[in-house]
Amino acid sequence: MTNAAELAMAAPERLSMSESEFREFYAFTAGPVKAYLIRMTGDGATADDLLQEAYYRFLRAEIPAMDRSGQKNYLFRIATNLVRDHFRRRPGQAVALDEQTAGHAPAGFDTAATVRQALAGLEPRERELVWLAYVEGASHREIASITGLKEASIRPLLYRVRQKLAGWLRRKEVE
Amino acid sequence: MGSMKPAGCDHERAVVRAVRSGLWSGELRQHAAQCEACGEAMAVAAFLQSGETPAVPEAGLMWWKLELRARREKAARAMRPLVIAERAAACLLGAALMGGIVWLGSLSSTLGLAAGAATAILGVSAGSAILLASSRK
Repeated sequence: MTNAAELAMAAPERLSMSESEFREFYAFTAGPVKAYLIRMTGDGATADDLLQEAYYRFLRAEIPAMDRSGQKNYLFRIATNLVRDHFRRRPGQAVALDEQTAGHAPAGFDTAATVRQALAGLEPRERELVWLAYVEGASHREIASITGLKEASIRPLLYRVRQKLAGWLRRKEVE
Repeated sequence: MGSMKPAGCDHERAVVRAVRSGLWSGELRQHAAQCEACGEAMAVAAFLQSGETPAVPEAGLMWWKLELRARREKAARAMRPLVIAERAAACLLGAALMGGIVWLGSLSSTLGLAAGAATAILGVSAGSAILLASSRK
C-alpha cells in the first residue's frame, strides 16, 4: 500500500503544460484573472482559492490547440464558472457583498472600494460582462464564449449595463 | 470613423484598448469625444481600470502547489481499489460471522450461545484490526 502511494507521489498526474510554459502563461494571465475574481466575489481570500482552482482545472483539462489569447479566454471561462458555483453554494454571500458596500464607499472614483461599490449594484452576470468588455477589452464573441451567452445578446446587454454604470458615475459626480 | 449606434458603437473596443494602453490616435480621440457610446465606454473603462492591480502568488509557488495536488489526487486514485477491497472484505467477514451464529444456534441453544459470544469477540477484534490498519494508511 505504501509502495503504491510512494509510486503515485513520485509521478504527478499529467498536466497540460511544462513548468516553464506555465510560468510564462501565469505571468500573462494571473493578474487579470485575480482582479476579475476579486471583483466578482468581493473577497481576496476567496479570489485566491478560486485562482488556484482555476489554474488546476486548466492544467488538468484536455485543451485543444489554441493560441495564448484563446488559452486566456479558456481560463476566464473556468474562473467564471467557479464564481457561479461559489455563489450557488453560498447564496447569501452575494447579498452580503451588496449590503456591505452599498452607500459606504469613500469619496472619489480612484479607489478600489468605489469600483467595488459600483459593481455591487450590478447583477452577477452584468459584472462579468462589464469587466470582460471594459477592463479586459474582450470582443463580443470572446465574452459569449466565456460567459456561455449568445453572441447576439451581448451588445444589448452590454449597452444596458454601460448605461447603468455611466448613470451611476454621473450621479456620483454631482454628489 | 463610424457613426453612433443606438445600442453601442463598433469602436468601443478600440476605445477600451486605448484607455488601457494610454495610446490614442487623434482620429479615435476625436471620435470618442463625439460618440455618446464611446464616451460612456471611455468613462466606464477608465473608472473600472482605476483600481489597483492585485498581488498574485509567485509562479513557482503556484506551480509547486498545483503539482503537489496532482500527485495527491493520483495517490488517492491509486489507493481507491484497495480501500474498496478492504471494505468489501470487512462486510464479507461480518456476513460470514452472522451466518455462523445462526447455523450454530440452530444446532443447540447452549452451543449457539457460546459460539455467539466467541464470534462476537472475534468480530470486534477483526473489525478493530481492519480499522487500525486503515487509519495507519
